[in-house]
Amino acid sequence: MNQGRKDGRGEMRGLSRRGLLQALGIGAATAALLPYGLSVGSRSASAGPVQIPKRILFIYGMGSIRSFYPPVGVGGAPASENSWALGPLHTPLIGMEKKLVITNGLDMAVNTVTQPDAGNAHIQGGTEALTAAKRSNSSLSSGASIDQWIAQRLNAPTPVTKIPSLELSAGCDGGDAEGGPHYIAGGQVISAERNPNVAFNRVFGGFSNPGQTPAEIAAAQAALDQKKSVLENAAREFSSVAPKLAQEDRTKLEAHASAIRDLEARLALRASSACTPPDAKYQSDLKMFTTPGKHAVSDFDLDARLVTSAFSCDLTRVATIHLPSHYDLESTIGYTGGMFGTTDTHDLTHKTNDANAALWNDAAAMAIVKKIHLAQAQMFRRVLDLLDGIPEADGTTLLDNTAVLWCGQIAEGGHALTELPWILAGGAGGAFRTGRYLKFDRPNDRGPSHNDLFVSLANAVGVATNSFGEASVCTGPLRGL
Amino acid sequence: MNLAKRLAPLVVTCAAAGCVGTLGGGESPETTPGTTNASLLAVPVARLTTAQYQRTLRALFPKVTLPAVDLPREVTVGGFVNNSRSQAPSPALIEQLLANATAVATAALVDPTKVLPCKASTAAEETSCGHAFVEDLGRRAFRRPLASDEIARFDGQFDAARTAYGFPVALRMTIETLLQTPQFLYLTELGQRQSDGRFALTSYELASRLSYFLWNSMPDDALLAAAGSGELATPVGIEKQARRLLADPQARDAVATFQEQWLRIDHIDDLSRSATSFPAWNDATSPAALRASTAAYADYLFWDRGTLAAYLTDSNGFVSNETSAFFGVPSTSGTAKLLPLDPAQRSGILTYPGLMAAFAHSLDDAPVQRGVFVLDRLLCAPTPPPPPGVNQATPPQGATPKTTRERIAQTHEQGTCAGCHKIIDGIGFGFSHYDATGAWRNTDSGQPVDATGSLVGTDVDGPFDGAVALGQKLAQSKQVQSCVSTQWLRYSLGLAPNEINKTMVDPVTDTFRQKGLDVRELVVAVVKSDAFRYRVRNP
Repeated sequence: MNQGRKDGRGEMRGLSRRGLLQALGIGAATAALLPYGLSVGSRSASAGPVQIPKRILFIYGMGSIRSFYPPVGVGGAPASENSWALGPLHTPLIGMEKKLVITNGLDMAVNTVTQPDAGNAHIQGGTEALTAAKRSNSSLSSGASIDQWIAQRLNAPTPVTKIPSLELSAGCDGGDAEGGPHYIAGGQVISAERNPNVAFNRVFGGFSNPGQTPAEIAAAQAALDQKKSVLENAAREFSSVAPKLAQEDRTKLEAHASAIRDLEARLALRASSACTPPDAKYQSDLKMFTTPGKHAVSDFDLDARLVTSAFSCDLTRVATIHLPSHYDLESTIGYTGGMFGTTDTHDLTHKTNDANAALWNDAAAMAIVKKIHLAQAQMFRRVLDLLDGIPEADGTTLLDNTAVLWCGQIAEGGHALTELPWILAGGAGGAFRTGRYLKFDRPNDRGPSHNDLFVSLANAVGVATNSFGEASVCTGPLRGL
Repeated sequence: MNLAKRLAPLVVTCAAAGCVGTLGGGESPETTPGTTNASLLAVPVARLTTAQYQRTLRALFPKVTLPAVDLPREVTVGGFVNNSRSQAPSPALIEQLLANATAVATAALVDPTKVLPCKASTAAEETSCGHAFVEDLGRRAFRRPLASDEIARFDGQFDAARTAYGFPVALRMTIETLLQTPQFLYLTELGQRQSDGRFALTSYELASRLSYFLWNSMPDDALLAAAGSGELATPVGIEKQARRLLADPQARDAVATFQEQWLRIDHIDDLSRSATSFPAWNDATSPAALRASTAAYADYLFWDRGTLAAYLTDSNGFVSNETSAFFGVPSTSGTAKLLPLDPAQRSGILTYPGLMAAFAHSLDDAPVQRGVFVLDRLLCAPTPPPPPGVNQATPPQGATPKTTRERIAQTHEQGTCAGCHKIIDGIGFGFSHYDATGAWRNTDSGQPVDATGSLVGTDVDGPFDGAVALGQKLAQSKQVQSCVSTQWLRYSLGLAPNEINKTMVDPVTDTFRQKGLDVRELVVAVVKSDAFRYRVRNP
């Protein structure tokens, strides 16, 4: 029941741009004159200096090829913090250097202390990449993931955005194995949405036109009141049942009840005054989606445009987009099974992983595998361009107020979880200096933990903390960032 | 795309110790040292799975055509999507439950006479009928009669909504509310405390467990009546109802749902094969045909054969024109037919082409995936993954063509890799006669196939030649019997591999053996077991 349904998850399909703008409270005529025009957003009327929210976006994929990942030097000198050029897998990012921080040398250090064994090598990284916490069994992490952890704190004590966070996936989560990387709490996995129509509906659906006449306004208010009343009554049942239950049950049901009350508070939240909703082209492009993985590149583009709009309208401040995997990109890069004697792109990436790999000296094979990384870099560039194309009230851009992290489940084709090829972009409102290459010292072959990076990211978007995830490998904010 | 496809098949260099000649990823009930075997483990109440939720909605409003509703994609833990501990109340789920409740309530009330147990033409009738509706829908949605405090709350809410918004809206809000309560969405189980500290499930709680396990849907009136009459208070009464449910067509879907996950039939998905190497294969049609054939075969094994031995040694298959090449029989027109296959080549689910193809790559078979399948799903002894940083690519063909086995054997025997790979490959190499489409072959890359293998660390250790011989050995294994019990019991209770222990499994396995290893009797043994009928709770 995944596609093409006519149900609660698809009701916004086919909604006209005019209808969308009206539902958002943005008059079509006004919006035409003022592309970032005024809306009736509840947070638009406050006087005083504009507070531009900080957002955080995770672009989640796999790993890189170590030999080609680092930036190269300029003018014969080795790459240094402030003098470097993008490496061969990142040429699509040329021109964006001033808004990037290329890190080199971070580790998923939690992997050195976690138990028990993961079900397979991809579950290993999948349970650790965003949680930076130990596993509680072979499939599950024991901690919340950084995206959810930040979203929960940005929206406490009361929600500030309609959607706490968006988790989108273009393609099939290649290698994500069992649960995937997103945890609302230890053991509590949530899946990323693969259908862009469902995602669009979640963000921009559900707004009712506030109406013009007194009767319309009253009807809209009644509909909202009824929803709130239903949710309140349902939440009350949780309060009535939970105390009679055992501790494990209580915890589970109380979390559900709290999520209902949270939704109750989110129902009235609307788009901000500065809002660039998806355009007509986006809505027609939505029709291109068929099944996950079939059109992964255009699915990613839809996801990127949706996140940009959601950020611009302040409908969420936290998002993750899963990059299409190498499987999903086979037709894009011109790979077919059997090329170079490889069974599939999975096999190909392993065989081109390092200088000891079988196809390292096969120029044609290396050219194809590089195309995977270049295609992903191109998608990362697209996200940055979209964000950079939205001006904010103070003359900066949406990208300048966003922390974007290109991260992944493994570091390289041998499933290593050290020397992560993670790239930061955007300034998070000046929280960190961009335009730099941050190569970390690795005494005893150990680099800073990615826990430390997550501490810095949380702080950058306004969530104060000194620790995240597994405490024994976390030292505080990432030094040098 | 499936997970199996991306489990890397090979280790070239190893950096750390994994298995040291013994089986087990630390979570098998047979091999776990130090876990408490004294009692049940406390796990949280289960939420309805998406399939259970969808079926229950349809059963609640049998006269109404409901819109299709969905929930966010479920996550898999230890092979099953119903792990109760990992079920998270994500914001997206809560939003979707609200949207679904509204959509269902709106559709149900297009013609209220199809859902109301009474007429309501006057104001007084609206109140009394509304209250009757609360009790009627509530009893079925909660799968037990409402408690008096529940009746008072829902009646009060109905009255308030009717006063504020009128009768139709009050009906809608009643449905919307009930569909978002914990009593509906969860198997809320209070139980009754016993002298030994365990909690016996009440009859209604048992009725729900039975029905969601055997039907994947809510109890019917007869089951609720049995609960109300106290019939489910004894194992004999439970057995009677279980056999009734199993005889109902609804049980077929429920069993299929389990077998699809247990036997990884859900991994026969979107497979792509080299057109030059496998001319009989069609990316567009072969995977779906093989999946349908495998699912039909799993149904056949359970319903028409029923013994564990048949799963491991039978030599029939559901063959259609699309799949005949993979079974090695002449093509057949029309729908898939059950045909006898060569018993020297086929051995039940083990060698079934759909699964053999699922555990393979576009060119080559994947001995590691096939070995891991047997270890994880049939022996409950998963091996740990290779340490990070290990290059797992299959060595390519060199100047002299080599079989898959020859190409990977050498690297797997190196250093600390050997510990696990002796176990994994010892099984996996036994499948060398099956190519990447599941078809039988006598040569691989022009070389004669060597399908000798050996079982290591099991109760049926020793050498064998080929998967048919492997099937014979596994059919004698007490570890396999215990593992199959474990998988059924885990699924029935939504448990992760580390949430089950010998005390829970052993009595079920004993009955399974006493009943001649009939899997249908195993299912009955599951529902009569203490693990199914009792809970423990932390204070």
